[in-house]
Amino acid sequence: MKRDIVISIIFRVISYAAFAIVIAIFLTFILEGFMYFSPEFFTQFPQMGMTKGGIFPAIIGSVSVLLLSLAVAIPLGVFTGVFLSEYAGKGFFSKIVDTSITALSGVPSIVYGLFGLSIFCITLGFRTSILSGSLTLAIMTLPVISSSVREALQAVPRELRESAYALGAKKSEVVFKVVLTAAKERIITAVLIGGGRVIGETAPILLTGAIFYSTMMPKGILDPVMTLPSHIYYITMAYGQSAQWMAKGASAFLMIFILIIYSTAFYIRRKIGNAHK
Amino acid sequence: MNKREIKNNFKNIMVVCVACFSILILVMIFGFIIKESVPAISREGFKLFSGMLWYPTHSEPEYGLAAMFIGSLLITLLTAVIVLPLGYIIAFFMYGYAKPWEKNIIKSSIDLLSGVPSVIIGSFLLVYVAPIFFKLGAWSRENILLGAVGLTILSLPYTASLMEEAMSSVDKSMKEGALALGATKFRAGFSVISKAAMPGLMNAVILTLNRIIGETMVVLMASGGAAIIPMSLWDPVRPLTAAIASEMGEVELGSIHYSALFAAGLVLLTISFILTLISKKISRRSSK
Repeated sequence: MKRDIVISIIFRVISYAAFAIVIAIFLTFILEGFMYFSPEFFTQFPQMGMTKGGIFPAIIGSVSVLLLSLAVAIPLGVFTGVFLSEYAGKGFFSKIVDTSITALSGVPSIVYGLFGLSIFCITLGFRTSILSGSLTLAIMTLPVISSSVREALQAVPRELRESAYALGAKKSEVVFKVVLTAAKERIITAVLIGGGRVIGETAPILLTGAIFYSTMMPKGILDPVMTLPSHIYYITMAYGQSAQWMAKGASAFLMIFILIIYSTAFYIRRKIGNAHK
Repeated sequence: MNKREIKNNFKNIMVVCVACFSILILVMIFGFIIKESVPAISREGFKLFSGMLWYPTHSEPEYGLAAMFIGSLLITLLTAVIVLPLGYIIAFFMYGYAKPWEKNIIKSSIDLLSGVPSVIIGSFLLVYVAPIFFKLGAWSRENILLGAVGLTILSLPYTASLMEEAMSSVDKSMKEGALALGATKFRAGFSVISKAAMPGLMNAVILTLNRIIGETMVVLMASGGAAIIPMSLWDPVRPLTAAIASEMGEVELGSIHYSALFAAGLVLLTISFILTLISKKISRRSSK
């Protein structure tokens, strides 16, 4: 028994230490970056070789990429999730769809970038643009959203479906009017998590949609953009000490943004979890 | 058929069509990556995968992916050695020893940490950790150890939560039985539960490896730019993912260099495909 207590103490210390370190890291980053926040920081273009000005174009770029890719990924992801949960049986076709989604979920993001570069930028002629980047990210988020939607729908109690059938509803009516509505909150959580992933993703956007620096706003979805992650990457790698403040500020802003998205998602999830108990 | 039936059929067909789309995407990813890497493979042949030299921009260019492939494996291995035991210990703690409120705190922080973008971790490493390593004797600002530290930070929450899920999914009666027979908590968790949760734990290991080997931004920023086989922890290393991300921006479209980078992507795609299929097989068998 004594040995067990010793081990329990060791394990507890290791666990606490690991998480304390990781959390301390991010807090430092957020707090240090927070010092650089000012109205100009959010509303101006970078100036004087990134030593002055702000990250306005990167914010606009990130938001437009996020919205466009979610507009594509949400319908695709929800429908695929509906198929996996409600329509898939034991057949060959269902098995292949299931395996494809699993395989897609494991593909490295850089490979999605290569794929997007080859199909959207070159073959379809969208070049390096918001559209190419958003479509690439939408495809990358598809497995994330669809597997969470599948889980969300499977958590809907059977009785609900059966009562709807008993009332004479057809299959699609049961699925779209009853099951999807019942799982609404969980689906919002799934979409938020997908969105959090899109906004932080860097490698695919470097290949398909981002540029180093732009002095103008993108005029349409066929123009390239700066995004927050790509901006952080370029500043950290290619600029000297005098520009690092902007990377810190942008990182802090990105972290806060993602933390808000994730906390909302997990708050909703926890609330449903408690309601079901 | 009335309007309602038409609507029903239409929606059913829509769902199946969209489901087909995911198969199509997977096929197209393979198709496009293979198509783009064919020029390099047909020109260089097997040398592309076995060659140690990567000098794509020399006047007599060499396109050998092997050194970078080994780089990818080494940094994955190094990270795995740190993150797998650490993840297991944290999972074990959450499963066996943690009080409900402790478990709650760790779980919430895991949830939040899983969303941290890798570019921020890379930036953090360069700004804060690299100077410390420099004092400790690193001769290059970016090195394999720095990359491995970043990958550990990135994958620890993921690994720990997957392993904890695997252990929690074991039937409770096993733990209680072991404890009733007089086993300590450690013995129950280590010899009984871990054995029963083996498929889930293996699954966690495979998914972690897959995640590490495919990670781009951390290694691109923190592990350096030399396509050599590292001999010490302070040596820089260039994994496949980093090579693709950093060189794709400057490459001439349609050149052999461009095509060779797609071949690197093909290697990564194949590895991830095999690893995910194995993981799927394991989890399917254990859920039966």
